[in-house]
Amino acid sequence: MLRYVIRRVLLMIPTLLGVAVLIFILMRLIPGDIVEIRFAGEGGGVTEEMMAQERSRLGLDQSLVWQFVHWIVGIARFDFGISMWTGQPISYEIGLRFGLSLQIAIMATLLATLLAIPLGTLSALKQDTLIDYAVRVFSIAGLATPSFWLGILMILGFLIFFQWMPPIRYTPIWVDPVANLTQLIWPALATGYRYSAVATRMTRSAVLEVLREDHVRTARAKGLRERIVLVRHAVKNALLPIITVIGLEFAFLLGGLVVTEQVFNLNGIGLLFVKAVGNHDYTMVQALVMLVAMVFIVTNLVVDILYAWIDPRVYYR
Amino acid sequence: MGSLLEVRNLKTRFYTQGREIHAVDGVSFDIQVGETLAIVGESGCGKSVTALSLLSLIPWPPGRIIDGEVWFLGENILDFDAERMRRIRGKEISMIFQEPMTSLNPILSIGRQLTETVMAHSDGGQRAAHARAVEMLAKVGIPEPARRMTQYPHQFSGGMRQRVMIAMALICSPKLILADEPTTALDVTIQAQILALMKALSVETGVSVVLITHNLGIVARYADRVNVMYAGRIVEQGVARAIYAHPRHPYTSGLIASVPRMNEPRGRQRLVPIEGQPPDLGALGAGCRFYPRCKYRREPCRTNDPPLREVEPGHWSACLLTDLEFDPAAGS
Ligand SMILES: Nc1ncnc2c1ncn2[C@@H]1O[C@H](COP(=O)(O)OP(=O)(O)OP(=O)(O)O)[C@@H](O)[C@H]1O
Ligand SMILES: [Mg+2]
Repeated sequence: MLRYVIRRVLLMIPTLLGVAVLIFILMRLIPGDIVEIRFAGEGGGVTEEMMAQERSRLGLDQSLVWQFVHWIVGIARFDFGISMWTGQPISYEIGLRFGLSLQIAIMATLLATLLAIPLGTLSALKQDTLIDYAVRVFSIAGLATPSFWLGILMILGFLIFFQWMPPIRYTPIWVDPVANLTQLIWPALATGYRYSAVATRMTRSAVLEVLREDHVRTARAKGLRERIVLVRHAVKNALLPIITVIGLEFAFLLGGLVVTEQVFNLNGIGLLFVKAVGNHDYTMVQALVMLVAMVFIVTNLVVDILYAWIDPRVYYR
Repeated sequence: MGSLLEVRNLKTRFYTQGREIHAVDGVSFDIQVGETLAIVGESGCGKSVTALSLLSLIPWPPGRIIDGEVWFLGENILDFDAERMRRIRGKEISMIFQEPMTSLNPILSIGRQLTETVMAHSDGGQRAAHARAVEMLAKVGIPEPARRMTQYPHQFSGGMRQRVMIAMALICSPKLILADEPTTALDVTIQAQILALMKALSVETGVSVVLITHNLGIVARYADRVNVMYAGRIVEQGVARAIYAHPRHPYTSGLIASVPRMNEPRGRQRLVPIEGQPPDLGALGAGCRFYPRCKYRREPCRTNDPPLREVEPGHWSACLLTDLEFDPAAGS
């Protein structure tokens, strides 16, 4: 198992290298560069000379190969360089926001898991009864409701009924948990609802499938208590597909919360991403893409390890 | 010897796609203490549903026991609530299923699956359950039982898994085992080993066995008495050897003609399958259910569904024909 994990970690290197090449080329294919965008506002007063000077300051006058190698060598030393737009170190810019985005993703995942597994199981058990219909309506509504829209409703609700708004300033949870949670619980709820809807539907169908399997009938025929039949012989076996869905959603949340962050006025990774793309901030976009790719790869690895932990038939060498 | 279990007029139906399937339609039989009773019949005749009904294991929806009684130790267990029924399952009456590959939980260790059975029916601790499980694995002929306890079903062969199932069925010393085609999924040599093991254990522990099969060869060898089922009914009932030697229902005689006899050389046998298909259990007519396929049918058979009738002491048949009219040799 340890050997397997080590191999997977080593395999991350070529994967990330591929991602790096791809994003590097894609960024250069977008028409216009950061210098044009920066000077776009200044109208006719910009001379070719000034632009050339700025390009050379950013290293954009070097050959593409040299730029790429320079960037990759930096990454290999965990040095992501300087944001071309703000001039700040990229690790600083991401560090400012990563905690917030990670916390929302974790809270939304917890919420979704805690909601989805009991609800989906209940729904499967009570298939085609009123309870099942209620759960299904709840989860279809979740699928149909964009998180940002739910977020807007929340904020409007707070304003209209309580004349209150969640705080805008981010406080790390270890500084002041209450202030932190009053700010971040709402976006976590808004995204967690949709997320739980996906996971609930997955749980329902997975549990229904397992309940039809022979070994569940054996468990009942042995005279096990119904609760044990359900938890130990049905839900546990249904966990594999559920974990896959939850893992994918988690990875997505870390980079994909653009609009929700905007609605709640959060300074997160998603917003940073959009701004960086808009500004053609090459180094920043490249770093963020690498980060998201890394999150996806690590999440996948964790899911695979959980698989092996739950299902003894899965054995990695 | 006395009756351990008495089944009276059991009726189980399934409701699917707007149809009512009479899967088990008025079945009555007894099981004596210590005997092996076989239930044979073609696929779909209601053997498994009969066994599952005895333990109220019919899933609703779509199925339901709509009538009948199952008397066990003086009580009708079909009247039991869920908790009392649970305490019968695995403890007094246990079950072995056909598919050893899927009947065990793939992600729980064999040991866990054995001990949880013990723990469901006793207050003794984990340690006592563990010791009992190892003892049972040894008893069913699994080498190195203590080591095998920590392994998972996929590390066992089909025959070994069925041994585990037998150990699991016997672990709480039940009075009755319902074995639903326990060897159908295994190859022939393993089949014989498993059946011999079951026979030996039933003799040793005095447990009664209901052996469900569609293999008449197995019936002749391992069963004391036999119920022949056709289309949800028992059509012939009696001592296994007597029925094998001298069937009194045309369906039984057809079944016997359709399987190879062990004591005759293969080349000379002529196997005669029963023509036609069993009736649709969702649309049964008034007459004898075997009428459309019967070689001896008469006009009255078309409209009269004959009840079981004692044709000689201890031997019952649901056929209008008397012995004189029914000569197996004449028909073929
Ligand atoms: N879950 C179910 N839903 C609907 N119909 C069912 C269900 N289980 C059994 N039946 C019906 O009940 C009838 C009897 O089935 P049963 O499984 O008892 O047959 P069997 O004699 O055990 O056959 P086999 O030798 O194939 O195991 C079949 O016709 C089948 O269509
Ligand atoms: Mg069956």
